[in-house]
Amino acid sequence: MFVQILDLVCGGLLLSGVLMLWRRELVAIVRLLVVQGVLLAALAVLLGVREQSVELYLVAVGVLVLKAVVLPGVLHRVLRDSGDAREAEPLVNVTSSLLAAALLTLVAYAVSRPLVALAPSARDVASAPYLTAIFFVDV
Amino acid sequence: MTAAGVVGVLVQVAVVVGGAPLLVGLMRQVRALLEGRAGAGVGQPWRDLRKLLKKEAVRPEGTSWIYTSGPLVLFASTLVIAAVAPFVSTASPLDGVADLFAVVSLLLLGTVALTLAGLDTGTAFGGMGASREVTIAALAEPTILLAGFALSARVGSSNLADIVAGTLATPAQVLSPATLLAAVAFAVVVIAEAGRLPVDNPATHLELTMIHEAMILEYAGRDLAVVELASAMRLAVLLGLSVNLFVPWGVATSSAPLALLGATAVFALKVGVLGAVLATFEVFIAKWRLFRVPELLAGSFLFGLLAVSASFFLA
Repeated sequence: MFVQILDLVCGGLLLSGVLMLWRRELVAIVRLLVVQGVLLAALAVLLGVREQSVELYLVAVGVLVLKAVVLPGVLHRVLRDSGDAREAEPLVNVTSSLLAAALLTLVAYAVSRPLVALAPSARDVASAPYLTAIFFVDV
Repeated sequence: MTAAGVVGVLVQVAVVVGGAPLLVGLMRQVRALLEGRAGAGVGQPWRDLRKLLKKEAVRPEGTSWIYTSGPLVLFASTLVIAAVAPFVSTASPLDGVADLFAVVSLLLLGTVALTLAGLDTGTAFGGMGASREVTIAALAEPTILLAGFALSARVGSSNLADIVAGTLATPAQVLSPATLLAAVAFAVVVIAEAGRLPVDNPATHLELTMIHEAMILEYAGRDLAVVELASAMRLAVLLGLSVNLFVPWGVATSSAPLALLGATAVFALKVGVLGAVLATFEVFIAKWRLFRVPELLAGSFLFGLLAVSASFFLA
C-alpha cells in the first residue's frame, strides 16, 4: 500500500511536469506549480510516516509553504504587474520539447535501472526512476 | 455459444444503437442549459433521424459506389465494435474478437470509409475535411494503441474483456501511475476521435473550421441519417470504452438476466455522466487553431508512451 501511494504521488509529479511543458498560458503553469508543490510535500509526509521522523514533517511543511504558497504568490504578482506576457514563449516549439521530454524520461528509466537492481529488496527504490525522470523533464 | 450469451450481445447492441442519439441529445441539452437556453430536449436527435429517414437520398452527380458505401461501412464497423466490446457483459460469446488491435482497426476502417467518401464527391470541402480527418487520425490512433498497451501489459493480454476482468479482480491497480497517465492520454484521444471541442466543433458549418461536417456536407436524407446515427454511436462507443477500461465496476461477469439488467443501467449511467461532464467542459473552452491540434495530440502521445514505459519498468 505504501509503495503504491508512493508510486502514485511520483506519477502525479511526472504528469504535472509534462503538463507544464504542454500548456502555454503562464497562469496555468503557475497553477501546475502549486500542484507540484503539494505533491512534493505529500512525498515528504509519506516518507515521514514511514521513517517516524519529525524532521521530514518539517521539511514537508517548508516545501508546502515555499512551493505551493510563497513562490506561486510571487509569480502571480509578477504576472499581474507585467500585464502583457500572458503566454510562455519556449525556445523550441511545444511538440519537439514534448518529444525531447519523452526521450529524456526513457533515458532516466534506463539510467535508474542499475540503481533499482542494486537493492531489489528495498521497494522504496521503485520511485527512483520517477525522481530522476522529473529532474530531466524540469531541466 | 449459449442463448444467454447471445441475449447479452443483443442487449449491448440495442443499448448502443438506441442510446447513442439520446447521449448526443443529453450533451446538447446540458450545453444549452449551461448557456441559459431552453434546449430542444434529449429526444431531439431521434426526431431528426426519423425526419431524415423519411426523405429521399439525393446523391451528387458523378459520385461512385465509394460515396454510397461510406455511411454503411462506418455504421457497420461501429456496430461490430458495439457487439464485441465489453460494455455490458464480459461473458459474451464474441469476446475472442474483442481484441485491442481489432477494435482500433475497426475504428480506423470507419474513418477511412468516410474520408474516401469525402474525396469521392470531388468538392473542395470534401477534400479539405478528408485531409484534416486523416491528419488527426494518423496522430490519434497510435495513442489509443499505446494507452491500451499500458493497460494490457499488467493483464498480459490485449483482449478487452480480459483487461476489464483483470481490473475488476484487482481494483487497487486503478490507482497506479501507468493507469493515471493512460487515462489522460485516452481522454485526449477520445475527444479528438469523436470530433469534439477543442479539436472539432460538432455544432458548426463554418467553412474554415469544420472537419467532420466538411466530409459529410453532400449527404442528404437517408444517407445523412445513417452518418449521423453512426457518428453518435462512435461517440457512445468511445465514451463506453473509456469508462469501462478505467472504471469497470458494474460490468456483468455472467449472462444472468438480472446481472445484465443491472449492468445495462450502470453502463448507461456511467456514459451519461461522462457525456454530461464532457459537455460541461466544452462550455468553457473554444476550438483550437488547427495548427495547434498536433501539439495536443503529441502531448497525449507522450502520456501514452510514459504510461507504457511506467507499466513496463515498474512491473
